[in-house]
Amino acid sequence: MRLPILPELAREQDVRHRVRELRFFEASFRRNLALRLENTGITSRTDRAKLHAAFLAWVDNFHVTREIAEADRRDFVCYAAGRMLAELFRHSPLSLSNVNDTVDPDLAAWPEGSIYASYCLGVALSVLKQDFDGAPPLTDASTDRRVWESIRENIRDNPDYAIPFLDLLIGQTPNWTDPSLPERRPAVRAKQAMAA
Amino acid sequence: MTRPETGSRSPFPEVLEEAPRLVKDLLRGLRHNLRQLDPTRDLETLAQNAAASPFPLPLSPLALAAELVRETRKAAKFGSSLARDVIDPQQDDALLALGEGRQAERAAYVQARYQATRYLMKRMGHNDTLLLERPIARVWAETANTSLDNRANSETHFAHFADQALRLTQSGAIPSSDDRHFPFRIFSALALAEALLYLSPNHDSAAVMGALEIAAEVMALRQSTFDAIMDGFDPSAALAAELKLLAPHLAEA
Repeated sequence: MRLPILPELAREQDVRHRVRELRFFEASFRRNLALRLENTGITSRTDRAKLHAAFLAWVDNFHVTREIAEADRRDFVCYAAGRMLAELFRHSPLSLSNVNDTVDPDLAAWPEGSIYASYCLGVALSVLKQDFDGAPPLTDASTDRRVWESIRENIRDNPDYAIPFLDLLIGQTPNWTDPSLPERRPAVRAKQAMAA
Repeated sequence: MTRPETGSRSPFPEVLEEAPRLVKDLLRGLRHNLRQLDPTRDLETLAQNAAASPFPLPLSPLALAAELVRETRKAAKFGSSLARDVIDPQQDDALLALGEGRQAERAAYVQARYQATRYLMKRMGHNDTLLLERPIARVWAETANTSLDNRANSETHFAHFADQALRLTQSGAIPSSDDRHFPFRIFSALALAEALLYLSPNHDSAAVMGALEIAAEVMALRQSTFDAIMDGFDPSAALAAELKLLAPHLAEA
């Protein structure tokens, strides 16, 4: 899966905090969109209000759940990126047209999903690289069409399934049972069990 | 609350600013009433009254109707000229004082908040809602003892912006609205814009307009949250908490 925003985010300082700013979020989201659609012939329209609504919903959740970050900060980065992906699916700010088969397969199969996922993966991997001694490579699931088809079906019922989906792509153990609850994540429970 | 001391920073005695403000607010009320005038409805009422009148009228109902339409149009034209030239002049420079907070001089404080509020009202689809200036001046006077400088922490500033929003809501600056939450929404949006400017390194025209734009958008997205704050136990504290939660994420870095 192509993540063209990754080298650009790598040049930014403190992505972990900056992505919590609306202006940075919007600018980097739009930049990722432009890079992903470069030379594809696909045209896009971003609904600014929906994009901001997705961001505000993410901020709300961030404030409610941030204390869980104490248990395992690295895992919380993955959860927060997954949560951002869920809010993008929920608010759906992107409309694409002229989608054709000449582009890369994941973009052709599910253009909006591919763009949202590439942005959130780019952010998550940048933060892991900057603050947690390196980013893991994407797993094989990231190129498995069946995985993408499955998640596309699942997020129709519940956009929060984007959270374990993103975990799957970056090799974090997913929590399919309670995807929206960070305290139920396997990494957090393991840390809590060790501390007990 | 005490009134400002005689030696306040405003170069003019309050009465010299208050008189034109009073005239402008009266004209705003007049223009608002003209806009509410419905010629069709009012003609019908007039025709009925004329038919029931025991005194002979010098004009036929038809001539009377034509006269009323003519006068209404003249008055409406007069109203829009007033709006353009006197009571709602578009001066972008006036908005710059929004970034100065309560430290601004009285006239600049009032003008900035009047124009910013008018902008927010238009942005939220309330072009015809009456907005008055004198209540805003009263809020400036009520908060004379608020001394916020750069050493005050952000929570103190957010509490001040929230308190100001409550005072403006209760001031009668928006004297009537079909929706009882509307004045609180508007002045909360103004408070959010001021909080964004307080956190922003820039206070130029673009920064002020950007802050107002985002504040209006947030208000549209979170209307129910702000309505619940207004109906809650302590709206001032709850609004300050909301500003504290939102502003750092929305401010220009």
